[in-house]
Amino acid sequence: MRLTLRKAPGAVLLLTAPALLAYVGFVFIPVLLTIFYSLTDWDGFSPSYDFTWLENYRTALDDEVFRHALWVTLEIAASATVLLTIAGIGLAVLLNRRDRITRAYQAIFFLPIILSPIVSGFLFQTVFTYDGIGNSLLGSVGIAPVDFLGDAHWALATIVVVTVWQTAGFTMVLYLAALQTIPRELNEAAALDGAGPFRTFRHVTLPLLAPALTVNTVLLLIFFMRIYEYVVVVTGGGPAGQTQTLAYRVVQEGVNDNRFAYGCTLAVVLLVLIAILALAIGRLLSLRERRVA
Amino acid sequence: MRRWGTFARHAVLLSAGLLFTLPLYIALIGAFKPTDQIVGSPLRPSPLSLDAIRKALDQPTFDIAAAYRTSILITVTAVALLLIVSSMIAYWIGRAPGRWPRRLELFLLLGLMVPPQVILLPVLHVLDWLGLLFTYPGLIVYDVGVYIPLAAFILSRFVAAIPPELEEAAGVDGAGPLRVFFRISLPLLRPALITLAVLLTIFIWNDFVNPLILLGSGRGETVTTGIYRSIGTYSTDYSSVFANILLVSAPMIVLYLLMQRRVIGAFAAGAVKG
Repeated sequence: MRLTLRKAPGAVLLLTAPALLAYVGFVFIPVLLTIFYSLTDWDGFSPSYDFTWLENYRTALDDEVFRHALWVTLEIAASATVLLTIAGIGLAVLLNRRDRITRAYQAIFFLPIILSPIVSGFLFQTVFTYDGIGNSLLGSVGIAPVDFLGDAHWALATIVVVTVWQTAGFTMVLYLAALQTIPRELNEAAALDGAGPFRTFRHVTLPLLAPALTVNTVLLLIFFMRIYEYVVVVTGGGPAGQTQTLAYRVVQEGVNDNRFAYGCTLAVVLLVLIAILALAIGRLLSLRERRVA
Repeated sequence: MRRWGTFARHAVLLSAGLLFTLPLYIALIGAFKPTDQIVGSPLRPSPLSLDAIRKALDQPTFDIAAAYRTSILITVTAVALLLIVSSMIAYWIGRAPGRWPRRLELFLLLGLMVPPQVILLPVLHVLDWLGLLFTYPGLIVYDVGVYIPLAAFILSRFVAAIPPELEEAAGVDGAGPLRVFFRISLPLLRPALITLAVLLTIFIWNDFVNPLILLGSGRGETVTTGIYRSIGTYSTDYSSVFANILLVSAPMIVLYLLMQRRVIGAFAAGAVKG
């Protein structure tokens, strides 16, 4: 086949062109355009615009709403990633078997991820609204009602809870895949040497999970930096804009407030953050990996 | 010691399992109960009725049947197109000699980092320029572009696993590369294509922000943008909310019940993208 591909340059074009066109036209060029427009003062519909270069970025530095959204985004991404890593590894260790009950548990924990974030958002919004089901359940065990969505801290916590609920099973699958690469003999040898389950986990399983930990942490962080749907549906950015995230601000500025160029500017910030996180954390954790090994 | 460990394992799993199922249980029975019964006794599965479902199927603000048609049209077309074009490019990446395939793959992988919100604003203008703004074809071709990196990445691994001898034999028999691809390689990729189709179907059916912005308001609604626009008006009518949730998610839940292991496998395959 190597032979036939080389003989037919026309075939190469036919094989790659459709996908490449769609990707370049709808992903690559738009990224460049986002960067380009972030250097202008375009409102998105006027016939002309001027270059203001870094003016939008300077505006962003002084923009309290943006700074708060940035902080909220990092808070959600970090706490969701930490909780999911604990839940995912925990579930994977408990469910690293092949019997029927174990598989049923896996299927149950995994199920939420097939729902649209919009759907799970509405589900939790309904449960956690002030005179909703959550407070009714709390009331039945004698706990005073909590204003989950009316208080900024509780609202953020609720967003993190939906995130963890929906993604824990997926994280579990990521770590199950990693656990299955660890030879069973290692655990058995540790058990023979008299190590209990916790010591085996700490000294055998965990170090061997380090590479997976690197990849999965980056994956989750990058994924949650773009958190948007839960915010739209669960809190609507409220109370008083306290739970707006970066991706939420991008759409808000660019589409709803007609500040097109400024929306593009925040989008560039989001993209740069994701790129930095991917590079930095990948580097950091792979160093530690080497030390543990 | 061992028996205690088994007990602890089951205790943890059972309580975690119940906690995770609780929201789903509330939504499921909530779709069949009147609202006052939902808040009053959220966990009791009675009295059940089909009123909320019937009401959800016939609501003035959200035509679920139309939303289903739109979502099915977009999902099926986009997934079909993606399977074709991504398997072609994946084939070249997985097979062609030299450095270019690897470079192309890296170029595509960059796209995995890009959140939709980063590109949506300019995409509005790209689609406008193509005359496809606020149309189904516009959203579909955009979906193709956005999911190419993931699809090509998953498939190229499978292409690389096909023994090249099969194709070489056909090549020696005088078949051109496209013929070899469609007659020999594509059928061999079938399991991978099914896995990918499952994954993309779930992603595109559940997609929210892209149809919300790229279809605009009033130009047809998918199930997700439809439920979003309608629920604002219903938000204290919990049984309506739950009925809508159930109706919107039903196809994906059925898909999951039918192909559970494959769905889980599909997400696992998709995750390797890091």
